This record gives sequence, C-alpha cells and structure tokens, in this order.
Amino acid sequence: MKRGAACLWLFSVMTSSPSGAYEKPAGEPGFDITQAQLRLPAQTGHPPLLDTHMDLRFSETAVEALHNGIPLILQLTLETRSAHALPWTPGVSTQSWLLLLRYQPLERHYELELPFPPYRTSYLRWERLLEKLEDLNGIPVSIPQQAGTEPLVHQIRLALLIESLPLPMRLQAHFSPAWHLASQWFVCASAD
Amino acid sequence: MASGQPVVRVRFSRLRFAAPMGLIAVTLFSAILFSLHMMSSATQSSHELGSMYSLLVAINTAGSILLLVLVSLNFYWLYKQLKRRVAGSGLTTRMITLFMLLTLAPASVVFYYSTQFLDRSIDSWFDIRIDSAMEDALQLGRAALDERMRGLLHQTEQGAQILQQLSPEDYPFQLASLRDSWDDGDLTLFTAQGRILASGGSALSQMLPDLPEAGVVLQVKQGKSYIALESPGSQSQQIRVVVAVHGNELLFLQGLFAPPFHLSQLAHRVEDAYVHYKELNFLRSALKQTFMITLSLILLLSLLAAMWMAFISIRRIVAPVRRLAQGTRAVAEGRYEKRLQVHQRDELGALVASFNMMTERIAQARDEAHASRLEAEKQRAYLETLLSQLSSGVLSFDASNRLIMANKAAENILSAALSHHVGSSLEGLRLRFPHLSGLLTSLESSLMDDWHDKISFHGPEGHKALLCHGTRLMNAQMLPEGAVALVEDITALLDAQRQSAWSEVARRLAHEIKNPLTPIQLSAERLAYKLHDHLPQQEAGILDNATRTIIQQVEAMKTMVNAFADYARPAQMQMKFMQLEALIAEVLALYPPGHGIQCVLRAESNLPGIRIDPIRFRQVIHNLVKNAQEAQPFNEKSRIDFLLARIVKGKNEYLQLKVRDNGPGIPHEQMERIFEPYVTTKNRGTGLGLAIIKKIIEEHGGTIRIDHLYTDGAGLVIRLPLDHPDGTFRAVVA
Repeated sequence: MKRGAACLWLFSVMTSSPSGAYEKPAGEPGFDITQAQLRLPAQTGHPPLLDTHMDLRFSETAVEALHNGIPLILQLTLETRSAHALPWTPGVSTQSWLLLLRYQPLERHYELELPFPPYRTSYLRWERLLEKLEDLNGIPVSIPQQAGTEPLVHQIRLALLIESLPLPMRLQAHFSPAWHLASQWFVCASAD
Repeated sequence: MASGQPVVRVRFSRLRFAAPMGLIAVTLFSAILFSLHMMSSATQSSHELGSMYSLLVAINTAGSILLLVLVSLNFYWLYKQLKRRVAGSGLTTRMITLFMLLTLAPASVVFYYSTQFLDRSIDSWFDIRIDSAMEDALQLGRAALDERMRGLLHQTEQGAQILQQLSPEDYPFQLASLRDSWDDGDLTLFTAQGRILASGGSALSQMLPDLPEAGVVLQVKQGKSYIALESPGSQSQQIRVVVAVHGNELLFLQGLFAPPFHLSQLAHRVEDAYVHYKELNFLRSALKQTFMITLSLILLLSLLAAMWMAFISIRRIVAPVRRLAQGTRAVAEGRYEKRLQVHQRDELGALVASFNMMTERIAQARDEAHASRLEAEKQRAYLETLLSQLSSGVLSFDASNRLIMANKAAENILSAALSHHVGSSLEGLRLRFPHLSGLLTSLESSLMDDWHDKISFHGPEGHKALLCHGTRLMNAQMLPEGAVALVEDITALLDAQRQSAWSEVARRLAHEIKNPLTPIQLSAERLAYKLHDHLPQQEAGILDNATRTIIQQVEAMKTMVNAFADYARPAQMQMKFMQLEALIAEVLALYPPGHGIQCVLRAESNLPGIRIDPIRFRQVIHNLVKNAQEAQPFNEKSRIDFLLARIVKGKNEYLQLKVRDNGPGIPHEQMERIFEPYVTTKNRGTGLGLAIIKKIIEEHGGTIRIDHLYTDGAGLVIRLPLDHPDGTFRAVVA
C-alpha cells in the first residue's frame, strides 16, 4: 500500500509539477486544471461523476478567431492508467468529450455546447461562458474496474483541438504558441 | 561457349540490380503523385481528407526532404565524378544543367503567375461593399428580430401587469387566457427560487418548462427585463422574455416565443452567410499561405522527382558513352582486350558493338604484330649472336651512309666503340675516331657499289692490315637501302706469312751461306800461312791485312748466319711457372747504372705468376736493353723503363710490360715493319733483335706492339696472357 502511494506521488510529481513537464506561467495563454475530483453519485447504480475546476486563459488570437466565426473545440480527456506505468505506456482506458464554443453574431452571444448530456447554453458575455466552462461538475464517467492489486490513477487534460480548426489555419496553428492551448495531465482525487 | 558465360552473368546481375531501382522509382513517383493528389483534394476542403491535411503536408514534406537528399546525393556523386574526371561526367553535367534550365525556368514562371493569380483570386472574393452589405444584412435581420422582440417584451410586460392584480389562484386561467389571446408562445410564472406557479405551453413546451439561468433571474430582480434570441437547437431559435411580476411576492413571468418562421429562416441564412464570409475574410492570409504551401510543395516535389528521374535517366543514357570513353582510354593505354557490354539495341548500342569489333581487330593485329616483332627480335638476336661470334667485323650503313650496326669484332678490329655511335654519319665517325679516317674515306667512296680492298691503318694498337668487302643493299623495289661492309683483320696472317718467309730465308741463308764460310776462312788462313814468309815485307803486310779482313768478315758473316739460324730455328720451349718481375730484375741486374744506360723496373704489387720459358724470356729482356743501348748515344740521362702491370681486357687477364726509353724513337716510316728481320734504325746490329723478341713473345702466346701513346722515345707494349689456375694455357685473343 505504501509502495502504491509512493508510485502515485511520483507519478503526480512527474506529470503535474514543473519539473515533470513544462507549465505555462500564469497570465500567459494556456489551460490549467486546478482541481479534479471523482465522486460517487447519491443514487446507487449510476456512474461516478467528475467535478473539475480549471483556469482557462484563451489567447487573443483564439478569441479573435472565435469572433470571426471560427468555432473552437476543446477536448476533455480522462485517462485511467496503472500507477506503476511508465509515462509512455498507454493507459488502461481513455474517455474524452468535445466542448464546442461558438459566437453567434446575429444574437450577439456566445454558445457553449456540452456533451454531458448534450446541452447548449448561450451567454451574452464571454466571461460568463468562461465561468461556466471553468467549473464543470457532474460529468458522468466510466471507470474500469481495478484488476488485481495494481493501483489505478485517473488523470484529466483539456486541450484545444487544432485539427478541428478550419484547414487553412491548421499549419499556422501547429507552429503558433497562441494556438497551443492545453493543460498538463492532472491526477483526479477520489472522494470515496 | 565459355567466353559467353561471363556476359550472361553480368547481364543477370544487372537485371537484378535494375529491376528494384525501376520499381522503387515508379513506386516512389506514384506515392508522390497520390500524396499530392490527396493534399490537393484536402486543400479544396474535401471533408474526408480535411482531417488528414496536416498528416499529408507532413508526408509530402518528408517526401520532399527525401527527394532533396536523393538529388543532393546525386549532385555530390556528380561533383566527385567531375573532380575525378570520370568519363561521361562532363556530358552528364551538361545534360543535367540543360534539364534543370528547361524545367526550372518554365516551372518558375508558372509558379510565379499561379501565386499571383491565386493571390488576386482570393483577394477578389472580398470587397468593402460586400463587407458592408453583409453587415447591413445582419443589422437588418437584427432590426427585424429586435422589432419583434420589443413587441413581445411589451406584450409580456402587459401580461405581467395583469397578473399583478390577480390572486395566485387565478394565475393559471389568466396565463391560458393570455396565451390564447397572443396565439403563440409558452408562458411560465415562477418564483425567485424557481418554483413554477403556472404554465401555459404550446409547440415549444416541454415536459418541464425551460427556466432561465440564475443570472437572468438576478437581472430581472434588479428591475431590468430580459429578452434574448436563443438557439436551443442547431436549426431552431426562440425568443426568451422574462419580466418581473410585482405582487405580494416577487414573481417572474417568462415567455418563450418562436420568431416568425420566415423571418427566422432569413435571419438564419443571413447569419450563416455572414459567419461564412467573416470566417473567409479572417482566413484570407491563412488561405493564401495554405494554397501557396500546397502549390510550393507540389512544385518542389514534382521538380525534385523530375530531377531525380533525370539523374537516373541521364545516367542510363550516358552509360554507353561512359563505357565507350573508358574503352577508348583502355585502348589508348594499350589494353585491347577491353570489351564493353551491349545493353541497348539503339544507335549507342550499335556504336558500342562496333567499338568491341574494332578493339577485337586491333587486338588481333596487335597480337600478330607482336608475334612478328618477337620473330624479328628472335632473328635479330640470332643475327647479333652470329655477328658477335664472327671473327670478321661487320658494319652496316643506311642509304645516307649512317652507321646502323657494328658487331663486336668490328669494334675490336677497328679499336673503336662503334656501337655507341649508331646513327652517326661517316663524317661523324671520322671526327670521333681519327685513326679510322683513311678507312672511312675509302668506305665512303666505295659503299655505293660492291667492292673489296685491302686497307691498312694505324690504330691505338698499332698497324693493322684489313681486308674489306662491301655490298650494296637493295630493297624490294630495287632501290638502294644501304650497304654492308665486312672487315677482316689480316695483320696476323700477313705477319705469319712474313715471318714464315723470313724463316725460310734465314734457313736457306744458314744452309747456303754458312757452309762455304769455313773453307773461305780456312783458305784465307792457309794463304796467309803459306805466302807470308815468301813475300817481301811490304807485300806480306798487304797479304796479312787482306787475309785478316777476309777472316773477320767471314766471322761476321758466321755470326749473322747463326743469328738467322736462331731466328729460323723452331722453338723448344721449357716452360716454368715463375714471377716475371723477378726474372726481369735478375736480367736488369746485369746492367748496372754505369754500364751505359739506366734500367728501371716498376711493377705493381701482388702480381700473379706466369708460365714462361726463362731462358728465352731472358733473351727478350737482353735484346730490349741492347736495342735501347744501341739506339741512342751513350750519355748519363739514357734510361729504359720496364713497367709491369696486370690488366683485364674483356674476359681475359694479361701481364702487360711496357718498355720505354728516352732515345730518338722509331721513325714513322719504319713503324709498320719494325718487327721484321733486317729492319733497324741503328748503324750496327743484324736487325733481328725486335724480330726475335716478337717471335719469342708470340711463342708465349703474347703480343707486342709499338706504344703510339708514348712520344718521348721508343715505346713497346708486351702482353702475356695469364694462365688458368689449373695450368691450361689460354688462347691468345689480343
């Protein structure tokens, strides 16, 4: 048990600390996951729910593109992997959701389309949309059963999908830091 | 059959090598074309390929880099070939340069105008008027919707005022009444906590009314009604109105209205068009870049692929030329066995085949020439051996009287290293060898005809008599090609003949003259004895004088006849192995310095012994000293030097004795006959001294000649062959 906890700590350090990977400084465009928790719902038989709190800082380029009719698609990924697995080993299971952000010029509001469950909300102000997006709660997830004594860790990551951008923008986006909006992997806490 | 096997093997190996290269080239080219087509389709916003666009760009970029590396490697290979001056590299360079000029120039022009056209075409999509029209259309849509929304807000506010005056029990009826009167929309009355008090639905209604967010409620709470156009679905729109109902409790009336269908559709289309236009405008530069990148990649890939293929093709085209150049170089270096492989059936193939035929014939001719040359060499070597073994000298001259060949015997006979002056004219030989001047003059005047003559000359080794024969050489066209002269040294033959004659003379003299001398002498003595006492004193004196003179002269004649007898007597040699130096010193000891001439012996150290007859050789030394004494008047400076040394001539070794005095020397006119009997430069003597010396030396197998190089008196050179250690006597060559 102690060995599993040590591995978990080491993995967390490697994946979330600055020494493990590059983390953008605060203020610069980028995504940071500050909190993530998996909790069991009150009703039995329902899947676990994921609550996240994130700090999303979109680049001006991305917001400008949004205002010019380019929809932005974010991908939230939940990966379950063995605590002893090396960083390059594939996870046990991966689950992802696409979040769509769009600006409606006729209505002059922003739209957020969430897949859990399919839900579309309009916001007159960009800040309001961000507030909503930064606090995503109650996302139903499916978690594989633990096999043997191998401890499992669950980590999430949010990233802007460059490949979902219009084709002419993709090459430019691949080489521009303004479009490299992605968080580090963040290990979810379990509220047993 | 055996000679054909390697060719078959080489062809098989070439096929094995060529097939994968061709396959690789075709496969790579097809892959490039396919990838380019995919990328082109993706650029044209093909939905299926759009997601692969980045991958396709990466693949094509990798392909470009790969081709660039291949082309660079080919250029490097060409540079190395050029540096090493490999055959065909220059032609390959010229063809590659030409190909690059022919492809790059039009491709660059097309690329430039394509980019210009692309740039302007994309720019032409956008116009300030279209911008403003799109903005106006959107504003118009907004205005129409706003008008409708304002009406709905006003209508909902009126409904809220009505509800304010009612009790809660009447809310449902009033809501139904309002909805019926408005003929549209969903009305919901709810509390600040979200509790629904009454609701009246229509087509928009759901099981549970869609309540506004907390923010909206808060806004309305603050006294600001809420109205907004929402899009709950991708194709549907609704107008949400939320107003406050001020009663006993603050309530909220929400109305959800569908915008007029026609207006909604139009507004939606306008929005779509606006968004699309706005997106295009935003992506304008990115779009240009994308098209430019695609176009550049296509051009780059095409050019690089074409250049790579050009390298392969040109290399194959130039290969026969390169092989021909290599073959020509091999032929120039004399390697006629070089055969080129024929891979093509075109003109170049025919050229290579002709080259092979040519080299084969040259090789055949070379082999024949080589065989002929070998035969000629063999014949020449045989002739040279034959000529070198000849005792007669052979000289050959060309039509210009230039020396072509002289054998060893000719060099020995003429005492001239003629083989070192092959190619020299007669004039050149005359200048180089002055002692042959007379002989060469005779040759020059006689070479153009068949002739024979006796010629004598004085060489470094004394007087020689030659018997010469000349023959003119004619070629196949009977034109003069040169001449051959045969030279025979008959000096020894003439000497032998002369010596034989003199021996006969001496023998006859001894026989015919010596016999009457004794009776003459006895008769003279008897006359003197018988008559001396009977004659008066005066007549007796005369008789005495006469008989004494007769007796003296008879004695002199006896001495002379004895000398001739000795000369003519066959040699009875008593050979002993001894040191010649000691023998000479022993004889010279009999002539002390006060005796009339100073005799000096100088000999090399460590001289070998020699087999000689000591008695006869003592006579030689005595004769030499006496000859020198008699040749010059007595004075204190008279001297005779004996210089003894060991010399090597060819393969033979000799003891050489040089005898030199400081007398008047030998007159030139007597040099030829100085060794003949009765030839003398002195007033007294028999004239047999040198003849006897020569006879004894020759009996020892040696030679004697006048030393022409010595000019301070008379000089003689005597050479005696050294015996083999086993005692066999060596034949005299000198």
